[in-house]
Amino acid sequence: MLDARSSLFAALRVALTGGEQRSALARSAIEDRVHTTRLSARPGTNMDLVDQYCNKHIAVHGTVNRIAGFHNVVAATEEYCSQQQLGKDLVVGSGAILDKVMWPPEWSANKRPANVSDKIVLSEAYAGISETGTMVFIPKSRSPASQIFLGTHHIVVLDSSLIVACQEDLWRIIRTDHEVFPRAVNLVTGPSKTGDVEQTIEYGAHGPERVHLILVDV
Amino acid sequence: MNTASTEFRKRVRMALADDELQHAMGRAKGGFVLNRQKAIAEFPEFHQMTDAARDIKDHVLMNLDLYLEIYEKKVLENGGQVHWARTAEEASTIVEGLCRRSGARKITKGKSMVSEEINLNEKLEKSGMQVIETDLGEYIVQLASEKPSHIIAPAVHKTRNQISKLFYKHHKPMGYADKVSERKEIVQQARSVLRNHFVESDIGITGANFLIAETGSSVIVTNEGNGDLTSVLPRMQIVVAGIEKVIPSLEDLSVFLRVLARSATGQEISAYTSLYSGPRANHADEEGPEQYHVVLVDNGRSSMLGSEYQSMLRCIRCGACLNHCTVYNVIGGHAYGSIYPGPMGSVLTPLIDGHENNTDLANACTLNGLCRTICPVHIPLPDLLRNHRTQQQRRKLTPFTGRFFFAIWVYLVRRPHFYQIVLALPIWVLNRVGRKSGVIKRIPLANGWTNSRDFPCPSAQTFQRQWRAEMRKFNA
Ligand code: SF4
Repeated sequence: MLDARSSLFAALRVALTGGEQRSALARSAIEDRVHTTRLSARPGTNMDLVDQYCNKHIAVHGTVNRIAGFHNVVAATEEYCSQQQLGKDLVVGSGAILDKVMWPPEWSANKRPANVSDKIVLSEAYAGISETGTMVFIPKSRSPASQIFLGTHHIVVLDSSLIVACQEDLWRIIRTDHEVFPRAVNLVTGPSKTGDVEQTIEYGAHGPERVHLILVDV
Repeated sequence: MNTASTEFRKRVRMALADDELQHAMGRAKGGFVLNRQKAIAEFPEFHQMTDAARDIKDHVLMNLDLYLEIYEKKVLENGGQVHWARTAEEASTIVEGLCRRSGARKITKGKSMVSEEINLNEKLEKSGMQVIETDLGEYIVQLASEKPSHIIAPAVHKTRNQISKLFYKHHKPMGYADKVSERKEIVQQARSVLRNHFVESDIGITGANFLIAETGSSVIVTNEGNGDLTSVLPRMQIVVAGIEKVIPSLEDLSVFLRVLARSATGQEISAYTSLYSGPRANHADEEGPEQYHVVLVDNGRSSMLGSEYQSMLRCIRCGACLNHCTVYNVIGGHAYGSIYPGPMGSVLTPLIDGHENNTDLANACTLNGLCRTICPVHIPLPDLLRNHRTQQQRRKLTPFTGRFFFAIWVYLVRRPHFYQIVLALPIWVLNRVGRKSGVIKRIPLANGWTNSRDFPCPSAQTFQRQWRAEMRKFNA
């Protein structure tokens, strides 16, 4: 008897080619299709990319603060935390901007993965997608996924020059930056939400209840 | 009449008489439709995008064997493992084996329709493992020992009051003494209960919205973030997916993401779209699963390839056809008695589960054609349902009375003269009865029609007679 894989492929070939094996030519045509970038229609806009990005982010229940330079990150974080009455205990991720930030002694800024009881997490996004106001994360050991999903308040730092127009541009950048495609790529658009109770949106289902963006013009 | 058919009718009658269900369905009905309309109006490229989505799927289906080979190779390169399952039973056995051999006790799950299709939870629980659904809707139906009633909103049939009672019953022993009844409180309590499960879980099982051949990634799309906590925190990640989920490249993914969220919930993009591509070791990550498995399920799909039903394999499970279906919106998902309800389910279920037990599904449809026009991958659902009906008729699977009357009808319409003579009498009678009021309130033997609506009074003569008379006048 054939094993599951062989008999499944045999069934596929019967349906598709009448049982014939595929030619080398057909094979390489499909290999090509997989590895050549083919752009279909993409959404157009005549807005400034960063403006559109902020608008879209706000439209999905996010908040934004645009600042100049990394040295303003602490002040911007403080502003948000005091607004929300959150205190000064937070988990901090890493990245080109966050690694440069010096936290004054009254802050307890912990550089570690987040856990279920962490209230505030500050992390740095890899890029932004203007099309949908999306924040892109590529969690590595230094900026783990727990930081994206476990905090109640997620404060995200993003270098405004890393905002791309649409998803296709993001894929291009990731391919250039990474020889091997990363283990995880997370596109995050607004806070976590659910419509499972009476089809009415509630925020903070499993992930963050609020997402606050600190957009840095470097 | 076969038992499956009797059962279906019974379930429909119960659904129509169930006030809580009718209340819940009434609430949900308009929202999805309206949100989708708004999202599409704001996106001029939508229709171009749906054409592209259909074309990509058609291309992949014609080359499915080749795409699956490329995808498999890539997953192996990434350090993952691929398992193939011909049937539902094979698939659930593979997953159960993986879980058992790794000594798992607690398993968290993201929402996955294929896992419902293969009856996975039952299988795992029989082996003594604790399975926890983490999507809020799925969690609610799990507590209620029910099945999802909608493919993207599993608990759409539940009212807030019912959820509140369920939570009280199940969470009280866990130390949640107060009964929560506000939406916010309900969501908060679920968050709090499920958090502990996430961190204690040994294995995370999710479905996949897409599998990318280029990168060997599985893609999940959620709004809650539960799929991600399920994927990332446990030491083993298992992805269960139908073989039709593979797409060529990242650019193709973007096309689908743009139509999926808009069609499903009216969002531009869901809150979380995540691409996962293997275990941590191969990427020198300090987090992520130690093992990454993909279980690819056929379960009837390969026999749809090359058949008149091939287009059904394009389905991206957006749920729009359910939301727009006049029948689904009154009877709800459970009445269908199958995992996949609504138009897509009525097409799919007989193909997966056989016609014999599912004769009524294709007939519980008005053929109003709305599902075809809103389907983001242009599946001709009404045509496929009509195909099912023809098949059933040929194989004599439908009830005898139905077939008998159809045979008479066919006999008549093939003999136009005779047809007119036969119809002239009842039309004349109906006209006499309803002439005064313009409507007929009751027709003997046709109560099913007149119980809930009036029958408009026909004119005294058939159209063709009137036409002939007019023509005679005209010629004279
Ligand atoms: S058949 Fe079309 S509309 Fe229905 S769930 Fe599938 S993709 Fe969506």
